[in-house]
Amino acid sequence: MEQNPFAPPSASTGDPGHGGLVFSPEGAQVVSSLAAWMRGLSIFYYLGVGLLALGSCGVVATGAGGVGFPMLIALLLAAVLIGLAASWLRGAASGFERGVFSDDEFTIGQGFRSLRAYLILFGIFGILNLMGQIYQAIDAL
Amino acid sequence: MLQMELSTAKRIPFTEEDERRIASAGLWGMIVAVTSIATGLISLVVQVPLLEVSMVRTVAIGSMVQAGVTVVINLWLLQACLAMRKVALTDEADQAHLLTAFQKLRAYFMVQVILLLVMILFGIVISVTGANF
Repeated sequence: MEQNPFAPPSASTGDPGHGGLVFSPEGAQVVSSLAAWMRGLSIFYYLGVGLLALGSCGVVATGAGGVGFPMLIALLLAAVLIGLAASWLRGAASGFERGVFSDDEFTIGQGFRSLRAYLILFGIFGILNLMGQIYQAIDAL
Repeated sequence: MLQMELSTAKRIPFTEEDERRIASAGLWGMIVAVTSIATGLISLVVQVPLLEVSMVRTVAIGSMVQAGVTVVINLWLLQACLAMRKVALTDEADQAHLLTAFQKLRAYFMVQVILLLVMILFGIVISVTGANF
């Protein structure tokens, strides 16, 4: 009988499905604290989304001196991206916490998926920011 | 102590897909850390000549402190991401590496939250007192 080629490797290598985790109480406390700080940071992001939404309402109301539409698009785009970052951060926090407390590596894996999405967003932002900083430094020197 | 307890911890049976994603998260985290460290260092270099201009000295010092903190917290992110990649790319002491990653990530996010709180409080103080820097 042929083996299923789509089966995850861990299922066929003889590794136990569970039992690889079981953190010490100190380790669980670290993860719990990490999740709390991640959620705390996401609250600031949601506040930022609220302020950007308020700003876009202001742009719609005032027209912002002729540059209203591009500014509105920029504000809404920023609000969407920050909202996504906040939701990924909360997803990662929940995944880590639930995974560690239920000894389930699959849920930790889900946490890492959300963290990866968050880091990709900030990685792209970091690259653009670095290019801008280099441009400014060259301009200043 | 905690690291010693976990030094004998075994491999965590992540699926191959999850290991790829953890490695990818580590790689992107390293990109975030390296670009932020480079940005912080460039900012430090740019601010140094401004220290001699008395009118903008306070702002320059503030920017340098911010750049210094950015470099430090991104060093923690870099360490966390290196540990994440070890979880994904090696088959030994996964728990210890995972815990190192979580500890460094906690420090990274904690300082970010504290910095944001300090900046907000600073903004409130400036707007209430009308202080001019």
